[in-house]
Amino acid sequence: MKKKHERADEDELLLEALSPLVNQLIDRNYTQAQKKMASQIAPLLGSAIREQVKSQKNDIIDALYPVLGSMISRYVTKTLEETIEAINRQIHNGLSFENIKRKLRAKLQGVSETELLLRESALANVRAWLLIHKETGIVLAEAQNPEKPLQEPEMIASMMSAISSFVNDWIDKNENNTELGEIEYGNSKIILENGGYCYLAVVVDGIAQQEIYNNIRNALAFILREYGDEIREFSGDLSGIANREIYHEVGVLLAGKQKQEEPKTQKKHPLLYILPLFLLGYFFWSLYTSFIDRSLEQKIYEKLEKNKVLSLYKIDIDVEKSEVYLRGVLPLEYYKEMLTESMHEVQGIETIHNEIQVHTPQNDPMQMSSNIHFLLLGLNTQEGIRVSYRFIYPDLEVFGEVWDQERKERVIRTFKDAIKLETMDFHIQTIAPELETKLFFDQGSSSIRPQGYKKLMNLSKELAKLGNDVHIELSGHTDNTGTPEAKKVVVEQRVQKVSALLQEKYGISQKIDPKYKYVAPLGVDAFEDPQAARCVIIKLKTGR
Amino acid sequence: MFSYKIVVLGDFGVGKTSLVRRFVENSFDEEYLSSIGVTMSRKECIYKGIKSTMIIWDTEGRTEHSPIFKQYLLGAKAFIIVADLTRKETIEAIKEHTLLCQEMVCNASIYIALNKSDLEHTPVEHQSLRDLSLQIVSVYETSAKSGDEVEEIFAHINTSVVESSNAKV
Repeated sequence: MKKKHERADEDELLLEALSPLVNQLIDRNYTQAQKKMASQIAPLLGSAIREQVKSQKNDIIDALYPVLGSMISRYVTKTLEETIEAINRQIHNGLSFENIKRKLRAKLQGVSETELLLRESALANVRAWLLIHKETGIVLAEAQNPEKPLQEPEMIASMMSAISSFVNDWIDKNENNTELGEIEYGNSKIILENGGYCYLAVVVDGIAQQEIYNNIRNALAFILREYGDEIREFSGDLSGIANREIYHEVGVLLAGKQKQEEPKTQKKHPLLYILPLFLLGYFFWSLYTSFIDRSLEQKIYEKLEKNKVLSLYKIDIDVEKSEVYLRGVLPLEYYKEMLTESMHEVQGIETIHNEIQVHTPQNDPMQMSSNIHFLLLGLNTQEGIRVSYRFIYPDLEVFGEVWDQERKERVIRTFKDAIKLETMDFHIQTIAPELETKLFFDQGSSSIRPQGYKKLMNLSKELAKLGNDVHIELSGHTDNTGTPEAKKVVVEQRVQKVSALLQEKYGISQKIDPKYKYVAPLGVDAFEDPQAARCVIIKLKTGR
Repeated sequence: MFSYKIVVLGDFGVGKTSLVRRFVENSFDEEYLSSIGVTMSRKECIYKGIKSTMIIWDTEGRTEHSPIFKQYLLGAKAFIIVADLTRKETIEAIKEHTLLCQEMVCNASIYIALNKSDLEHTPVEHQSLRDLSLQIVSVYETSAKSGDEVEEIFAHINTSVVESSNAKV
């Protein structure tokens, strides 16, 4: 027991004596052979950390957390900065068509423009997609953004297959048969979506959002569904797989953005631009002219409302390209003219189409009665017309006397023209005027006395006013002197002389009806007044 | 359109890469070779008017420490096993490579390229090599340096692949 204690004391003394020396030794070695020490410790570090993670996992987490936290926050900050920069760039693009389209889309989708921008800046960068046969690394189908094409896609595909095989087989050997999902390089990454016999590699620039992963999965699902059998049996022939349909469908599925951008690369027929522009222009032009026309219409209505007469009537106004169409019914031509004139006072009218109809209402019995009355008054002022009427609506009866047929016709015509009635009865008699002219002669003579000529001239003036339906009756008379033969001769000579004078000298057109009486006229005593008996009496008679 | 994969394999230093480079002018960046053990080349071929693309996987030479990565052999239409005529052990290794090819792809044809024929060497009996497997189609004595038989071996592969593929159709 005592020996044991002595041994312990010795050890302690030795430790005390050597400690400073050993510390000095370590310090010296550390400064002199840092590299050597590092190389010696390095292989142990991995195992040491692994061991520590196994036994003191939480300690490690706590120890690394502050460092990792700031690392992550720095990375996130950097990424956000890049994203914001991208957004700023987009905003700086100003009022580009793309920008306006995005604004509209933001409104339609009910999301903020910034959100859309964020999504675009992240999604817009699908650079290429490659459908790769898993075992051989052969590109079954591929499409690339023509602005940023990949160099040697077949080589890339082969290398990716090799890398994928390498990583999957060597690194993940002990895990649950997982496949390589992504290869990152610089600001880009290749997203690999694995199928049984093929995989889809999508090269994305920038941040890849969840949406792009979903799109890739959908695209691969489509490929496997449509071409799964061909891919499984693939022996080198690409014609079955690499067709237009796959390019189109995969392109569409992969990125809505790319699909939208696609038409940009195709040359559009100029008509596709011109036609909508033309239609838009036409639309605005129509809108403008319509506005001008409506305001002109308004101005015209206002003008009409101020007119005391025209405002009483319903007038339709149509304005087309500053041409005014006036339609409706007015009772007087005068009002129609008044309307046209008032239109000239409105500014902005190019042409006036006055299509107003004038229609005077005549079937008002009271109006008609007064019209008939005034018509009759007017007619009766004329010489040789004496008519009156009886009007019990709707029957009108006109009766009276006129000198001749011409006057009768005139009366009937006037009524028919002025009065619009279905039935009008005319009882108008033609009675020649009672004009009696006596021409006296000397005894045994047939010569016309000077007064006789005057009388004949006056008579002829009256006859000229009458129609030919009036006949002239010439009655030759004589006194009691002379033989009957002599009386006969002288009476006939007198009548013929007057007849000849009327027709030849005074141009009478009426028919002359001679009558030879050879005696004194009625009521004249030839013995007492032989001078009055020697005469020719001229009377007018209405012809039959 | 026709596209297929062939794999070139063999021991370290037998001249696989030189052989491929001789055949293909445009070879891919060789930096990858050291990273993952394979480099790729592409060659457009035409036979009877049929265009095809040959993707050549040039694997890293086998050494004691780095065996050939089996996965790279998958899906190949043909293999070229390269050996160095001047190094007997590389010729002996052909058997092992053949077995590996057979294991990975049971119906791919195998071509043997006995390289460096421009150098002095002891003659090698071709028949014994052919007898190694039914999949071995042909044995060529090639020289990457002079180009001897290089074009022929690749042309032979392309012809067989295109014809067999047409026959299937």
